[in-house]
Amino acid sequence: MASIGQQLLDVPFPDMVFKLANAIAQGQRRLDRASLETARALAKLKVSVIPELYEVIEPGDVKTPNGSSVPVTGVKVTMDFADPVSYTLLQAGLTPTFYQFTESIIEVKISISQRTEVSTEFEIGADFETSTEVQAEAKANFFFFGGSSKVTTSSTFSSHVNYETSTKYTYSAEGSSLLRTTLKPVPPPPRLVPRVVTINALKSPPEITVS
Amino acid sequence: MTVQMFFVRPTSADDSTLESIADIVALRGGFVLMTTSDGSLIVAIDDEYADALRNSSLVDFASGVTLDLEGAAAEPLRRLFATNIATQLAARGWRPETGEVEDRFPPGYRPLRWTS
Repeated sequence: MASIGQQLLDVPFPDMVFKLANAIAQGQRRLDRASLETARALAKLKVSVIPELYEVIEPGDVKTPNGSSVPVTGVKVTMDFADPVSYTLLQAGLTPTFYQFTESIIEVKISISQRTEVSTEFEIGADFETSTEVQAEAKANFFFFGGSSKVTTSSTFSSHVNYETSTKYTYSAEGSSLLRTTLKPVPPPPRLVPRVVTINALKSPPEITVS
Repeated sequence: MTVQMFFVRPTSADDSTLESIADIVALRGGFVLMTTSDGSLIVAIDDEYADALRNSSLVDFASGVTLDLEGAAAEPLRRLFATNIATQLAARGWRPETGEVEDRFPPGYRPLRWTS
């Protein structure tokens, strides 16, 4: 079993960082492509805008309402409007939103616990048992008097030894990883959004302005 | 909740497709800001639902757009957007005091002032 330190070192950080960076690069490329496609579409679509409305206020007829001696000066308002101007949506002000990954975080959490329990039980016991048996016999008659006796002693000795050992090994590992990236809208790169070149042919020589 | 503007190009520019896309937008509390001459839409919707919009089978392409206030016709566009939002809000029974709408799909919930 590898040590905990070694297991922590075995976490594939280089792979994770590479994969995250790769995913970000691919995502960024797709986002930029989508924004460029939007820019192309906005550059083609047109909208007509009436830039100005004209109100011409001129002196009108002087009238004297019935029953009144006070003359009222009237006005004549003439409305007109300029010809509609056709703009592309890009010129009009709609620009594609560009996004950029501004921050990426890889967080790896690993928790390893290892526990070893060793238990030993040792038991020793001894039994000692002794017994004594006495047998006595007496005989007597007119001519004889006697007797006998017998003593029997027995001993037993027993002993036992119990030895028990157990080892319990517990290992658990928990891990989690978090990849977090922040995506923010950014101003369009100047080279990716078309410039508006205005050629004013009313002037001689024609005036060219780029915005 | 971040509402963003999206340029939405439908798979087909027929009315029923546009109406269905407008339904998708309205269902998520968004607004159709304008339509363009080729049937593309400019919509405002919470970016939480951007994927739902992009993944719709009716949408060919959708991507974020921004209104540059220094654009040549930014002000008329802004007025047009405001007019369309106000009209759609009014049609949905929006109550300014509570900020709630009565019904997102009343009859005529999707009035839109079309550009020429």
